[in-house]
Amino acid sequence: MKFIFEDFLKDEKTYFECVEYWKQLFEKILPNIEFEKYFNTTFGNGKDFFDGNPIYNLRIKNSDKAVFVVQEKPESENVYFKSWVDEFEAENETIEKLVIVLELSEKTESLTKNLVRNWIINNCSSSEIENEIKSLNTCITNKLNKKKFSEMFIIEKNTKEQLNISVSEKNKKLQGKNNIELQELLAV
Amino acid sequence: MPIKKLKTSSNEEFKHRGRIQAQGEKLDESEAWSQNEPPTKNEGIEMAEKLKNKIPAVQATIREGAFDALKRFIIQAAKNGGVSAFVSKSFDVKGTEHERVDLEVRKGIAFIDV
Repeated sequence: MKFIFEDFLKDEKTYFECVEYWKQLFEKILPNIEFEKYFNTTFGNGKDFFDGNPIYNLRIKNSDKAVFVVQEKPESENVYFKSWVDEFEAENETIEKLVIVLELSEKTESLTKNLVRNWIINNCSSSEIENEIKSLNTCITNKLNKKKFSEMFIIEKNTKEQLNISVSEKNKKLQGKNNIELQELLAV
Repeated sequence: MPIKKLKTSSNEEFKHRGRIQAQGEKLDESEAWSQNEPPTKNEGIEMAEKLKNKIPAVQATIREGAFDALKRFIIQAAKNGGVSAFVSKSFDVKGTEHERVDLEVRKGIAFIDV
């Protein structure tokens, strides 16, 4: 697995270069859309959390939509990517945030771009995005079952066995453009 | 691009609010604070422990690492002047699809050292 910014937690210079990388990535994904940082990532004395949690976050101006990316220490041999939609109740409003947890590689960057575009540009609802995430998980797990792909989701033995049962049923129902797109995206 | 209108809720009277949440496919438990004094480091750690003891043992076990990471963050926060809203952290359980421990500071500050 080829990671991007593999040493981002080892020194501050690399860490902030990585944050800048995410900033530029989102500027490319969301052209002509105004967004701003929403969640604080520094302590009371101004020092950064410096833990990738979140590595980057944004909220679309005049909207209740946000994106929250947690970048984890790269240690998996396979693709590590998880996502869900969560609500954050602030003082006077409720924000819907697309949470993405990943180890950063070209593959997980592509998956992020795809989900964020659908969440923000295509303005998908949380339920539509959750369905997409389910399809994505199924596609990744489907590859896991076939065992012929070098990149797979890390799933512990017990979870994997449970998933094998449920996924085989879901796989029968795999169809539609969205799933085809996701499978292409995941193709090695 | 069509943009959804903001949802609004009533103002809370307390100065400091937040919660620690254990979430997953079959779990949604939390410990919240809503008070006029910011929660201290020790109170934060106590809330994390309380939540860990409140959830089924198997759920606590798989979240052991996530709870440890949360406690490390609380201690780190206390050493560095606490944290101010809005803060959101997701301590993920690797090897699972949905299991995690979340921290939210929704209003005011949290985890000061006294």
